[in-house]
Amino acid sequence: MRTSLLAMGILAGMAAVAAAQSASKPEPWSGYNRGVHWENSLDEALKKAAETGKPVMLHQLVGDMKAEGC
Amino acid sequence: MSFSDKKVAELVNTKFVAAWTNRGPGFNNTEFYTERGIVSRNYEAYPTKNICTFFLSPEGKVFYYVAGSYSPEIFVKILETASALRTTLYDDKMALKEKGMAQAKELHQSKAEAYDDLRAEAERPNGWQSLTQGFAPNNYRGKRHVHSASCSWSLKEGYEYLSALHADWSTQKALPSFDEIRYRYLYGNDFTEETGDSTHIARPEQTEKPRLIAKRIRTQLAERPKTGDVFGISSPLQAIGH
Repeated sequence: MRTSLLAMGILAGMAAVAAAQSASKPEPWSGYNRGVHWENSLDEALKKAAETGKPVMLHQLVGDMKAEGC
Repeated sequence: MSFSDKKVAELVNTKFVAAWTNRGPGFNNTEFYTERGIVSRNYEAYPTKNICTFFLSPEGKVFYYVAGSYSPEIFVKILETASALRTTLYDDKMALKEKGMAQAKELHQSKAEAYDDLRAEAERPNGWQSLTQGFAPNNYRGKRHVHSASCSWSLKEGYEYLSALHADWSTQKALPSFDEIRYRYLYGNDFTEETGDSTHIARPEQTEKPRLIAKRIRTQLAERPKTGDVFGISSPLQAIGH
C-alpha cells in the first residue's frame, strides 16, 4: 500500500514538472505582423523611410519578435 | 505586449516605418516565469537595457530612443514624443531644419521636467491611482495584470528613467548614427537576457546631468516670498539643496 502511494506521488510530481516545462516553452506570437507592419530589415525600412518621409522605428531586443509576446 | 495594442499599432503604422532586430542573432528566450514576473511587477514600465526602441532618419541618424518595455498607454506617449521630435527636427522631406536641434533641446527639457513631475507623483502615497487612471488591465500568457499600489515602483522607475533620458538628450549637440549608439545608450536597469558572447550594452558618457526638481516644488518655491522667508535665504533653489 505504502509503495503504491509512493509511486502515485512520484507520478504526480513528474506530471507537475512536465506541465511546468511545457509552460516554459517559447510560444510564437500569433500577433506578428497583424497589428504593426514590420519591414524585413533595417535597410528596407530606411529605403522606405526615404520614399515616404516617415522616420524609422527600430525595435532592438535580445530575442525573436516572431516568438516574443511584444 | 505594447505592439499588440490597437492604438499603438495604428500610431506606428501611420507615423513610422517599423523594423526589428535581434541583438543576439538566432537567440530567443521566452522563459515563462521570468516574463510572468515582469508582467506582474513591472507592467507599466521596465526600462531594461535588454530592449531599446530607436527612431531614425532615412540617413540612419538616431533622433530619439527609449530603452525598455512599457504599457501601451505609456508607449503611446513615447511614440507621440518621437513624432513631435520628427516634425521639430525635420521638414516634410526629412531634411534637418536649421533651428531643429535648438527647438528639440527645448522639447527635451520640457519632457524631462514633465516626467520628473510624474516620478514625484508615483512616489506620493496613492499617486499610482491618478497615474494609472484610464490604463487598461492586461492579459499576457495567462497572467492578468490589474493596477494597484504595487505599480508605484514600476511607475517611479519608468518616469525617473524617462526624465533622465530627456535630460541627457537635451545636452546632445549632434544626432548620433545608429552604429554609434546601438550598443551605448542610457537605460534604467541591468536586466538582460543576453548571452555571454553577445555585444554588451554600455552607458553613454554624460557630459552634463542637469538636476531636476519637480515642477510642483518649483512652483511652490517660486510663489514663496524671496526675502525673509522661513529659511532666511534669497534663492528658492537653495532651500532644497540646489
